[in-house]
Amino acid sequence: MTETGLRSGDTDYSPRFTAATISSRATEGLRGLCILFAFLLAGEGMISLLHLPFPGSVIGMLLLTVALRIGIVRPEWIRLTARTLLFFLPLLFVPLCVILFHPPVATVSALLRYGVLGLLGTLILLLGTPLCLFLLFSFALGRREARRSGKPE
Amino acid sequence: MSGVPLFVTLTAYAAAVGASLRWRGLRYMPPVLIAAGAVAIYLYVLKMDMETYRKAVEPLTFLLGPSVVALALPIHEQSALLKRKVGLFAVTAMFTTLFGCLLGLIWGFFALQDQTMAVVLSARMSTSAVAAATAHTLLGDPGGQEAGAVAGSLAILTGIIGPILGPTLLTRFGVRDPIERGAIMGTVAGGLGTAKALEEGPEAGAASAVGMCLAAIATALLLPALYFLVKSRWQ
Repeated sequence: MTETGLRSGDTDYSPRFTAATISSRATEGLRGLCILFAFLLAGEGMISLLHLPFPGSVIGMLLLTVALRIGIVRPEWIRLTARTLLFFLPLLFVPLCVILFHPPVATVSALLRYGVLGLLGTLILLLGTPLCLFLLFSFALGRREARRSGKPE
Repeated sequence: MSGVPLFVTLTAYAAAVGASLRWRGLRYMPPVLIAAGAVAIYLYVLKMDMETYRKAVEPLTFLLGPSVVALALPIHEQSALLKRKVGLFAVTAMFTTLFGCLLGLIWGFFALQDQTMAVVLSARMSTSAVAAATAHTLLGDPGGQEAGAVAGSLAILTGIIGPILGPTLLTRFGVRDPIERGAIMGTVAGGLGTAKALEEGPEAGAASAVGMCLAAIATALLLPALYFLVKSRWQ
């Protein structure tokens, strides 16, 4: 059961879902959304004031982490909204990923400018770097894990 | 009918999630990519340009900002666990930035002989918004804005490989600790990696958010220094 009390395929007609419960959930969700937007705006305000090369949302996230840590914001105020939004986070990336199949003309022309070899090399670099990093980290951490399990304390 | 692209995006994602749960063969393919492919076909068939599509799905992209801010909650809830792995976060962020940015700079300057490409190819190691901002800052105007847009789209292309290959490689090499898995996914694959890590659990999600954040900070701070260092060797 999730925080919202809803589960896919779950038909719940129990008395928990009264008008009062739904209204209190809605209020809780709205309050959470207001807090998240307030921190997003604070982050965006900070980057435009200080000319930082970061997205406002990342600064907003750092500010909210600090606010949660020192107790200005209580976790329960944002829990319902944050969990709902994070559950749907992959969906929010779909419009960004469409760019892969419809790349901007500037990107295509920038890559095509270097001919077949330049294009191939760049594509290998683009896809190969994360692959190499994953391999290196996996190998290093996996070996450490194996060493640890080989030497029980 | 401005709501149709939004409806198509939502339906494509729901169908992609359903298909990857039903067919085992699709488990290595993130639903995000399947849905994006389906939407791309829709755009191609209707000959709709990206700008019209982007405007139609603004309600979705608009929610991306508060969703990234919402990552503060798993970070706060898992802070005790995350504190124990401070070294891991520092090493992954520094190493990823140094390795990725240096490769991009060396390829751009020495193989392609192009300053703009060097900046674009090194900045794309960060999450797309930071990549665009860093490329713009380093190159300045004119040309910086266009380079920033190219860096942003290449950052997404780089981040796509994380959710596809990351979890399989980590499992194959025996990395089972959720904090370690999340830290690597977030640092290497940014927002897309974090979305995938959240599916593995709250610990991996929180670690991934911290990793993404540190990689963004490391890129914004280290890339200018690396750029001027490699550029001085090139000239």
